[in-house]
Amino acid sequence: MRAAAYSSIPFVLFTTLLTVSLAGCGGGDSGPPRLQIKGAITFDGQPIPAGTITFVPDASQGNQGPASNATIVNGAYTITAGSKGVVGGPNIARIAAFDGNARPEAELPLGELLFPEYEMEINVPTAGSSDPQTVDLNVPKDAARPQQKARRSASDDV
Amino acid sequence: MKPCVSRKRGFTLIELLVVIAIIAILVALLLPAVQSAREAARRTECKNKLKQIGLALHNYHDTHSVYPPAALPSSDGLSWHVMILPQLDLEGLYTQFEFGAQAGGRYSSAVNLPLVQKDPVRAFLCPSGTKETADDVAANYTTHYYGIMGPTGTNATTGVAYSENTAGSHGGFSREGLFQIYLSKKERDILDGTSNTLVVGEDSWTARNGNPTRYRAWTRGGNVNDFMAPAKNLAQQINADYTTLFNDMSFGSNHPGGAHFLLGDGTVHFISENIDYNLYLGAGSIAGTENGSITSP
Repeated sequence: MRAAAYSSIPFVLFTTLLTVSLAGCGGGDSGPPRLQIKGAITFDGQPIPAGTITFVPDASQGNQGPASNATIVNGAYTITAGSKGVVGGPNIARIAAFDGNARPEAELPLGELLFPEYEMEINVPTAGSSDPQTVDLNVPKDAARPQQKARRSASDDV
Repeated sequence: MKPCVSRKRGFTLIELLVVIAIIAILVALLLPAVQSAREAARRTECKNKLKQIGLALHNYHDTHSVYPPAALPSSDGLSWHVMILPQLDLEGLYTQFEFGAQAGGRYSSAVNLPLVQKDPVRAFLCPSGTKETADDVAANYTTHYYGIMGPTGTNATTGVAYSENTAGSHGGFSREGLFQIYLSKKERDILDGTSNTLVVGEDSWTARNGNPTRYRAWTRGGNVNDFMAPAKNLAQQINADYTTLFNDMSFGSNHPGGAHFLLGDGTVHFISENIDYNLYLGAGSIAGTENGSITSP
């Protein structure tokens, strides 16, 4: 009898731990997989010193999901995977490029815009989603012209 | 038999250790629960503050037949927050402000500036947002609730670009939302339906992922073709931690997983940071005729 009571204590402990550890499971986010992508980004062949790039799923081509953004530093950008990664498939990349000379008094932390915000169509491959995809982008010289948000297909420019 | 019965039975070391271990596990379970209960309480309080702002906006509309403009027409004029103070039971503070198109109507005038430095206005601050002062002048208190100027980018339903004034170097001004610079909208302008349209959003996150906040004084308005402090474009995902372009600052909060938004019908919804981006943009426009509803995506 007493021996049975002793052996039941570890048993109770084990059951408690099991219940506790299982309680944390379940839930989780559903939705499209989020990919890690990185690459070089240039303006007329020259690296963009500073700026931001935003990937927006292209609804006109049936893609859905959250947008994600990254900072451009010295002509390169990286979007980490996980909850802030890029949704694969057709995307619109929106690029805001700055000269990198910060002017805090004018509320421009990255300096002046090199050209009006520019949008280009990108197809982010979904295969091999665990690896970081490399997507290199070049903004053509005519983006600096005053026409706003001109959309280009990446294949025309790269 | 006899000595065995009379012997007083104590606890062994093992038994005590096991009991202590069980208690430790239970406490370890309880502590995060207490913390999350505190956050849940703050979240509810934040939701209520947005609700009060919604009621104040509706009362303002009842009185003046229009919603307030995002900012009054003066360079660095006063924000819409100041205009709804009487509807938030802050009439006493409201009467101290100096209005007018000239320099006296600026948020930084000799009369108006001390009002933003004296006390924080709790009605405009989320309890989960730990940064309550402006980033440019630390003496100024800020707000965590921003009007929605409207989406920028492309309307996913019609395929047409959203109307935007792209002048200036701070991200431009969307013309699609309820809060426009120097311009009042009416409820009848919300053709998408008040229960489908985002009107005010929460921007209460603190610096993270290497991105600093860019809070400004809560009374600060905007400057045409330049910048807008009390209202923002929808140009980034919720919780994108984005502040590079001042007018495109992302909405977001310290509540896990999303942020609160006030809809035109006065309801407040917690919108997930993983919401479909184009649905989010569509909800920000007042008359974009987009498909889909933000409250039941």
